Amino acid sequence: MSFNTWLPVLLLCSSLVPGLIIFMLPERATALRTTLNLGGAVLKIVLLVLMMIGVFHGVDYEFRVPLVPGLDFVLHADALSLMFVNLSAVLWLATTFYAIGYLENSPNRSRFFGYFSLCVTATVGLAMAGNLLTFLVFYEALTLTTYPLVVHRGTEVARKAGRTYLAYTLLGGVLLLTGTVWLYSLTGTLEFIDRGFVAQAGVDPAVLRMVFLLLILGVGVKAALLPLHAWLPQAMVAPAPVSALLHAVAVVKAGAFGVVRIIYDVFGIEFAASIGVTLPLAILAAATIIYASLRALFQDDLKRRLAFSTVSQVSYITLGVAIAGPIATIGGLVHLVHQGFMKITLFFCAGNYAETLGVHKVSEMAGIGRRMPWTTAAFTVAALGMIGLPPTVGFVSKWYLGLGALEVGQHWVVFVLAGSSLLNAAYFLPILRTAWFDAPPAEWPEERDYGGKETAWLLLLPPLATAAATLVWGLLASMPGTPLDWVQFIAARKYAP
Amino acid sequence: MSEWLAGAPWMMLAIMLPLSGALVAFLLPRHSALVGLGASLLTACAALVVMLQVAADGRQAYRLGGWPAPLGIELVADGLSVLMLAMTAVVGVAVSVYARVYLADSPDKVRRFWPLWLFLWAALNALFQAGDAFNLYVTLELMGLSAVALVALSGSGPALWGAMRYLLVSLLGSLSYLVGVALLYHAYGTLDLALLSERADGGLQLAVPLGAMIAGLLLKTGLFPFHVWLPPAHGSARAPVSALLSGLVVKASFYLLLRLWFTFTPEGQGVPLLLGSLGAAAIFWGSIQALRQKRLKLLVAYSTVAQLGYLFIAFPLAELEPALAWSGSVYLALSHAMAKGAMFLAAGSIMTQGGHDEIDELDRVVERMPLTLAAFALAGISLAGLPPSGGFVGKWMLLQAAMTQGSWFWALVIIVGGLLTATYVFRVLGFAFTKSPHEHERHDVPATMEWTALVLALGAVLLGFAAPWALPLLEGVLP
Amino acid sequence: MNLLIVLPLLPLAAAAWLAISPRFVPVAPVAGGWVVALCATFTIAVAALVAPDRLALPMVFVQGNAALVLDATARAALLLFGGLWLMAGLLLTRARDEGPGAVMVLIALSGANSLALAQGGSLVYAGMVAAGYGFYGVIASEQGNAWRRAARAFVVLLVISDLLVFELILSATVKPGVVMPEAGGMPASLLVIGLLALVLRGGIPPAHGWLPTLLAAVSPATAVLAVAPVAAALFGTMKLLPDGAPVLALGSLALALAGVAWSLLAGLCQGSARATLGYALAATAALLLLALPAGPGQAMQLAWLALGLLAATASLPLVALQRAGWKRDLAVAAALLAHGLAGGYAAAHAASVLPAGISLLGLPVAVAATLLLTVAARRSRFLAPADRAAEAAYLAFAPVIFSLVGTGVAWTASWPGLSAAAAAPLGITAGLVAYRLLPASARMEPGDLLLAVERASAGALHGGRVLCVNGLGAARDRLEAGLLALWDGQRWSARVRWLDLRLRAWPATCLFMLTVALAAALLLLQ
Repeated sequence: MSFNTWLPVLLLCSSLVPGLIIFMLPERATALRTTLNLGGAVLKIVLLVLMMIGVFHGVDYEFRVPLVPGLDFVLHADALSLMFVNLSAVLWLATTFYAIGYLENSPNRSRFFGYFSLCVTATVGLAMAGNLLTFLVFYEALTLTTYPLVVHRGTEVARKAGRTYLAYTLLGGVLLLTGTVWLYSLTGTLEFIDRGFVAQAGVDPAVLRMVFLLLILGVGVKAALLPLHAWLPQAMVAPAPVSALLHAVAVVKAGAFGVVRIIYDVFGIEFAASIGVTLPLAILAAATIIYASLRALFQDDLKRRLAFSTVSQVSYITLGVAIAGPIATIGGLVHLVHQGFMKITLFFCAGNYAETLGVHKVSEMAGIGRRMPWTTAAFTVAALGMIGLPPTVGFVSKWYLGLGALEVGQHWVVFVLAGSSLLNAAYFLPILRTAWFDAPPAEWPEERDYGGKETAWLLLLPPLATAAATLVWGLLASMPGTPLDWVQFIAARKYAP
Repeated sequence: MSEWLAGAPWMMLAIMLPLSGALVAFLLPRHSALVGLGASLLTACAALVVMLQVAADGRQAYRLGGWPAPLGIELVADGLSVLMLAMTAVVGVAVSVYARVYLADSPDKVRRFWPLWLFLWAALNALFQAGDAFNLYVTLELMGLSAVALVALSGSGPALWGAMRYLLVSLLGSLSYLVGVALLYHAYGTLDLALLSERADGGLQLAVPLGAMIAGLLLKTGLFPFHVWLPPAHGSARAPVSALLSGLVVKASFYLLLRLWFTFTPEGQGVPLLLGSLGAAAIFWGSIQALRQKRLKLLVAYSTVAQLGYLFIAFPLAELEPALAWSGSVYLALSHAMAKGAMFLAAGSIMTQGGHDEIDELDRVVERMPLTLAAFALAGISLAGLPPSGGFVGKWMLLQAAMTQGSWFWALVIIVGGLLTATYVFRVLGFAFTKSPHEHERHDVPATMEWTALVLALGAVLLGFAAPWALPLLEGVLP
Repeated sequence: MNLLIVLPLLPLAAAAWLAISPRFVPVAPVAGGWVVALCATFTIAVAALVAPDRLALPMVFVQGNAALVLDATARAALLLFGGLWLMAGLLLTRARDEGPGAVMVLIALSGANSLALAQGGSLVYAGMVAAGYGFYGVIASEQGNAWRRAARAFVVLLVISDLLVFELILSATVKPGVVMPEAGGMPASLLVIGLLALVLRGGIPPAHGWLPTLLAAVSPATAVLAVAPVAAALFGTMKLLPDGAPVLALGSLALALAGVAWSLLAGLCQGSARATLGYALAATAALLLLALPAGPGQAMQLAWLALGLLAATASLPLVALQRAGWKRDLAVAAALLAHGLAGGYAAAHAASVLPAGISLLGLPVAVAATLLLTVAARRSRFLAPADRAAEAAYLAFAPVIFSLVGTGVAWTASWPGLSAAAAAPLGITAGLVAYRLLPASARMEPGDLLLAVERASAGALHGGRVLCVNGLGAARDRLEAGLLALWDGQRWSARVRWLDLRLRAWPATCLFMLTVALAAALLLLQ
């Protein structure tokens, strides 16, 4: 076994090992814990860069051990998985910084950071899963590692939210399991390959449609597709870094990534379109987009509003994939990254408001821009991105989605996008107006003193960094090295030449 | 040296070591804990060596006193036996390590526990290596009696009541089995399994004894609707005892059933369907009851009822996919032993710490004993069949068997059962994370107890990766 | 470093500097005003002095055709925006406690500058968005609450219009053979979308409600800048539909006629000068809409005409700061003249694509626009405090000069014929007459139909809230509760307990055992 074989495992261990060590650390070992956390995060990025260069030059990274008879546990790094790993790794670093600042002096930090690392491990594993079985392993692992984070606060509300979370996600896992076993019994393989392995199996399309339904419902729970989205707003009781991670990187994205994998590497997009499953999926995604935006419109709780916004935005990815055209694929995949950066910024900012001023509701945000201009600036950039306005990355996603839809003649998608943008504007712009232009109250609900500064540095820098990325990648979209560039590299492989 | 090691009668030793350990522990009550621990480790080593031998050379047989089968006692170890031996060894060592610390503050119990437990172990090892139906009966009876005594160990009212019920059930089951054995001997003139499998020809003379034996074994296994004795006995015993009962003892009678089944390989779909249906009913009933329990140990005990049901799902699936179904079932049994052992040990730690095991009042146990809770959670993961645990591999194989032959009903049972399992496991975890409104006294729990449970639970989870090495052992054993 | 890239970035940098440096907080309006004026001066200087230039920005946005271009259109636009912001900046330096925030004004300037220079669909779109939202920020950073209604209406229209523009560039990109901005021949549906977007964001009736409301409510600086969104909409559309949309000439004529008639009616019924000015601006915008289908024409007259018309309109809020006297009269007269001449030219320009029979119908539109502006000028009363009047006397000349420059360039570049000059005298005379005959009185709410629209949308919003929160949400919650009740309901639990007790009884166990044994034996026999 060469170094290249072990590189995916190392990538996994760079968060797994720190996580396990952190569990053992006493509560007061702050410095060591921080070092471990950040060290792991940085190491992961270094390894990742190494692998990205390798993959770009055609190196194959694969680690394989047998698990179930006839099936292996496979970690395989291709361009698509590295994109997702990249998103996780970078945002993990940002969130770690943020969480260190956010949880300063709060109890149970060892537990928190331990599970936090495990959660990222599961995400990275999920990204690198080389077959559906491995994907399933990490999909369930993700459920399990995020549960303690959701109930971290230990209140009755948190317990109930955790219960709902599990009820949905475990159900999803089971559906995915059923679909996977069924598929395996039909085709005898589960390996992800470009353009899918199902097409060669020669199975009855009616059966395949059922399998597709099971698999998509399974991952759709985490991707918060329409009837299965209710856990997400409830999971908002978790601390802000967790929400940020859940929404931007880990859970929701795992679902969306699953949709991508199933459509491209299991069924193959052309085949999926030929058995007529992509159009219903696209319609479902579109319905989710509109419905969740409508729900978001009337939420006063900031985090809940953002949660519904996530439900809506994540379905862009599904939509892009389900439109089944190369350009729409770029739009969907790139939105995976873009939405991550935008949404994590929003959640960081919401956390800052809550932590610094005790502001949790939109109606309490009057004039907050004057008290916390930098945070609000970051929030503004991300919110404009959500609406899809240039020069943010949201525009780039929307552009490719719209273009892709028109390219294959699905004109209705453009109306969905327009409606969603309109609704996004309707629920984000009032926040921006009240934050910047309304008169601030005489006293904030629960103000904490940061020595005359706006807030702690560790709370401020992560959202600024992610907001800056949102802006720069949006403005210089055609620059080499952006997520868009990498996604175009991926999309070229997923379509038959 | 190595030749001598290889030539030693390891199969015999696997039985004699715990037996003599039990004697010594009985005779030296002051040092019983030390003796017991030593004997456990040695026994485990012996079992391991047997397993290695079988893995290397295939089926092993050992004749006691050198007489051939019809006259003397023959010990037989094949893949299935050694897997069970290994399971017993792993759980046994963990329980021994745990029990030494757990029972440290009640010397009178220590005195009685170790001889009984080692005796039980000897009976188990003998059962797994027994080659004829009568020896199986004897070992089954020995095992049952020592298990009953172990339940009575805790001395509390419910425990004695539970032990009494367990005793009666155990006797009834053994009786039924004995009737079957007697009828078999009458019909075929031998009890050696290998010979029986050659001579058995079906018809009434086989059907009646087999029916009696199956019923007796089901009663002893605690399959629905014979599970009624199981929760009181397992729920009221001391934690290490519960771990042994749930993890190992019920598996022994299941093993016996498998042996008989593989020996006679009855034709027809009727009995498998009957067993499978009872298994499905057990899964649902056990899970529903587990969900309704207020006490942690009872919840875990009912979970055993449910999980035992899974083992029987293999019967109806085995007709078309024998290899997949049986390996899945055996693998589930293995992982259940480890997971349930870990779960009971963790429950024991939680009970020691808080002085109670009310689920609603777990009151942030996670903060005080994270390791124990992690053990509980990991064990729960394996039980629920979440990847990559041993339970997952077992359920995967069962599911695959069901799906390949299009048996949607069984697939649905397996899946819904897994969901129900997850539900009751996470019900406990949810309360463990939540603050309770009441105050509770707290006791310190030795780290050994916490770690033992955790290691065992980790073993259950990592067992998933052991499948490629463990399952080939079963080749040739399965019909 | 290319000067063109500096144009959008300089105001942004200045805004960031103002925002960061806390020293300027107490004197922000004054210091900020000077910064704004300086940046605006730079814009004007670039527009006036720099030779035509093009800076390709292949990495910006997704199409790869983005570029900053300084051509005739850009020059006119830059002059207009520079002039407007110069006025606003200078007004800000005198503001005590009113007026928009300098930071927002600078951000809006950055957007306006980038729009003026932008080329290539998405960059133009970005410029339009930045200018639009920047202007919204300018309004919203006003003191008090009077601006809210207008700003809300504006931003709603802006968002919808943005979506239409997005749709336009998207569709234009995907249609084979249509690569903007070089080739013509866009399908009519796209042209309609483009014009619709212009109507919505450009304050053209019927989407004009926010203009009079806004102008009636804000400080002079913002009132001057209120011309900017109209200009931005126009220039943006000109860049997106480079060859105009001759197909739509009739449609836009109808729209312009109706719009101007409506503006005229509502504008004359206004009480305040500012509200009247709002209608005048709406009428001017309608006039420009009329001229748009003819395309920019040679030497970009349309852009220069827009400069002439809009700068003249922008001078009126400044006139209100002047004392009565010859200076004021001169400024007003010059502004009206420039407006009339430019308007006449615009009508003549529009006539070039109209069918021969109705080609003269453009003229009444131009006349009506000038008429309204005249009435607005006449209704202006001197209101300013004494210390502002001195500068204001000269300040008002600046936009007038820009206006004259625009009109002059257009007229000299290509001669439209003397008939185009008729609009000026006609309009001004009619305006004076109208002012005499119809005394100012508030017979109509500024923004006329806005109130009705607001009521309707508030009702729709309420309905949506009821549907989403009470309807859908509650239905889903009920379903979930029902599913849960299946699981841990009372009756269910009693039944389970009953069954459990039965199962535990000894007779049951024995019976089961017998049954199982017999059943197994029987089944084995078969």
